[in-house]
Amino acid sequence: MIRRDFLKRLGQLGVGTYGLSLWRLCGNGDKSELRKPLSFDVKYPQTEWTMGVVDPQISGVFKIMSWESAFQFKKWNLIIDTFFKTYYPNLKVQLDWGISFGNYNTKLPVLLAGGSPPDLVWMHNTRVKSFASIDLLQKLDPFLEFFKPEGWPEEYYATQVGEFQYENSQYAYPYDYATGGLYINLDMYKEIDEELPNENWTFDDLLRVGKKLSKGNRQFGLNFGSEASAEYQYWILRSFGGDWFNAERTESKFNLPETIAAYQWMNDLRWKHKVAPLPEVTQGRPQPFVDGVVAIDFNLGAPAFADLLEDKFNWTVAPTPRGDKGRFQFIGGSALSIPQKAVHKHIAYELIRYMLSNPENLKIIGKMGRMFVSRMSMYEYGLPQGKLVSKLSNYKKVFYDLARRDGVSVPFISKYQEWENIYRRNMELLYYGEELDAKKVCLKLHEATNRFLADMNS
Amino acid sequence: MLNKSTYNNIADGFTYTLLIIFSVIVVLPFLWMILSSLKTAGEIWTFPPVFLPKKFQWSNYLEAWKALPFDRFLFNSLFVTVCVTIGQLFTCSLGGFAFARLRFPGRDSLFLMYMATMMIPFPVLMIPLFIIMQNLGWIDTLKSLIIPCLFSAWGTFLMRQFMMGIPRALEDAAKIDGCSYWGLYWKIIVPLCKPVFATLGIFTFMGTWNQFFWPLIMINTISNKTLPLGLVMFQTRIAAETPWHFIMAASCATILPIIVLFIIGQKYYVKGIVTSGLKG
Repeated sequence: MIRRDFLKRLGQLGVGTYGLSLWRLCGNGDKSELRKPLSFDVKYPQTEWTMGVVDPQISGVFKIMSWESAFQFKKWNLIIDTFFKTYYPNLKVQLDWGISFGNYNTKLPVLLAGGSPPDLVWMHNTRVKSFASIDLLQKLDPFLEFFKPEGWPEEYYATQVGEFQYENSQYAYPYDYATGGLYINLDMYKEIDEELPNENWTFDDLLRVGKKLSKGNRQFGLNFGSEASAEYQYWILRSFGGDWFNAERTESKFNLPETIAAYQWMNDLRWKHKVAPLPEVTQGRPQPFVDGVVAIDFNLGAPAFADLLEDKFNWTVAPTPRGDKGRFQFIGGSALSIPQKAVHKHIAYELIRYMLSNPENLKIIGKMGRMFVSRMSMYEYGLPQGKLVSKLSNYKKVFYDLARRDGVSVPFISKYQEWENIYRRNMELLYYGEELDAKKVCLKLHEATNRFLADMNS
Repeated sequence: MLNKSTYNNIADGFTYTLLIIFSVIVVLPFLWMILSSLKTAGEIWTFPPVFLPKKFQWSNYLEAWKALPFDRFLFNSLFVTVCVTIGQLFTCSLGGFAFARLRFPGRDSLFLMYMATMMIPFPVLMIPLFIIMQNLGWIDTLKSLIIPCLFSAWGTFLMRQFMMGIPRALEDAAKIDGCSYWGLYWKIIVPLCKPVFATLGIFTFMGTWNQFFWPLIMINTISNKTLPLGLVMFQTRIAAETPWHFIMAASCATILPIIVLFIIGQKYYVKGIVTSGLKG
């Protein structure tokens, strides 16, 4: 064999070996393993918070991954630590927290696809259906049936429970309840002779007040964010009688006159009535309300502004308006899930149940968090505290009572992120004033959405 | 009519004014970072922005350092960066030496293939690499941040191009004196490649120091996190709740080593830009 041939063979052997090893590494996903029913053999003493399926003396590593930040994770850490010290003292807990939300949603799919998932993961309502639809999350139904948490599901917000279901199965257990309301700069508001908005106000009432509150480019009456933030605008569409999709998620509803009217109303705030800040005002100024250039601002029900506002001006909260087709309020939230390939599924469920149905723990989560916890009876622990109590006397009514009555879930689909890109591309034309006629944009989006849904459902 | 000296003075004045303006533009973000690290959460969000804080919040530094183990992050970052930099200098110079100075069949094709790997975007490699790390049991270890990063096609290219410029007569003379290939590399080529070593060293150091995505995927525990990962641990889902003043304080404190390194290696850095035509 001449040297050239020898080197060629050597090269081929190298490439072949590398290919085979990659094939072996990547091809270790045995699907039948995933479909094996969960076992619930009770072999050990049961406690109030453990099923007795797993040996309490089990050793190994239990992995948790969360997007909560350094300060927010403290409350969870406290509870997780107590759980493991009490029930599984030999299990080492590996906590991967402080990953910002965007990075979390990059890392999690890699871990799930790479076959090395954590045992317990934080899950968002915008993502759960995407993961569930490709078999990456464990159905919680068998656990919920075998070891039912106190008050499940009747004592949990129906919107939250429903948001974390896919094809009638529960894939995540909600832990908070976020809703939206109007934040009002009282110093600006007292200059006009008007009552504060209430739940019977219409969108026209709000526009009338918004016009009175606007002062050229210095002060804007209303701010509803940008059309690009799809989920935060959905309640407005519903109030006008519009929608994104039909109930089966097979057809677009962007051609409905009501949907078009809702987007036209939002767009006219900026470009026709000039009561909402233009993109050039909000760019580089993510909190125009905090900066004191917006009188009425739509935002989530977290008293996040409290720290930022300090004592810059007087402010309070008020309900969002009603439309011709009724009153709807934005609802969103987060949850905990168990990945399909998690090693300690039973313990993960026990921990979820311990954290999110145990009233003692929910008190901690509610007090240290910024939202209501998902168990309705524990709402009082999510109410503002300290000096905010007097400032926000109607907080409970706006963010709890009305939200429970009028809350509407956003119709997330299994490929929501991909569809949202299409939505964003089109709606930005309105937001940036490149197109003023909402009908043209909605009809274009209607076509694109129909094509997308057909592809998704095929 | 202006005499030459006046003309030169005016020209210098103009040049210095321009340089001062550009320096201010470059320094301003750093100054902003330092001042933001001394503000309250409310002052950060004030619009129009306030340049100076009402009261300097020196406690931000202490709070940030207390909230997260930045000393550990700093150590991890330094350890990984130093290992990767030394490793890359060694492997890339060996690779460059082989491609530039040795004659073997398929050398140019192999080099082209190696260069072609630069065209593959990282997200494509991410999951296979992750699976390899997982099978090696390297997930959540600093090894996973060091070993896959020890090799660089770009670094090899840089070394090869530089080494090709070294006269072959030197190599021939060494061979006549009985020098082995290793001796040739170590005693002849490496000493002549100091500028390119400095260039690659600085670029690798900076690239590894700032590396975020790969450590994000690989590292799970707080004790193994590097500085870029540590800094984002303050970020919350609701932007308004993110304590930017702490992030700025931690950034200021942790940027120091890289500034020191830059001051020490400034000469080489500038030379590196001249040599490679690249900027970090």
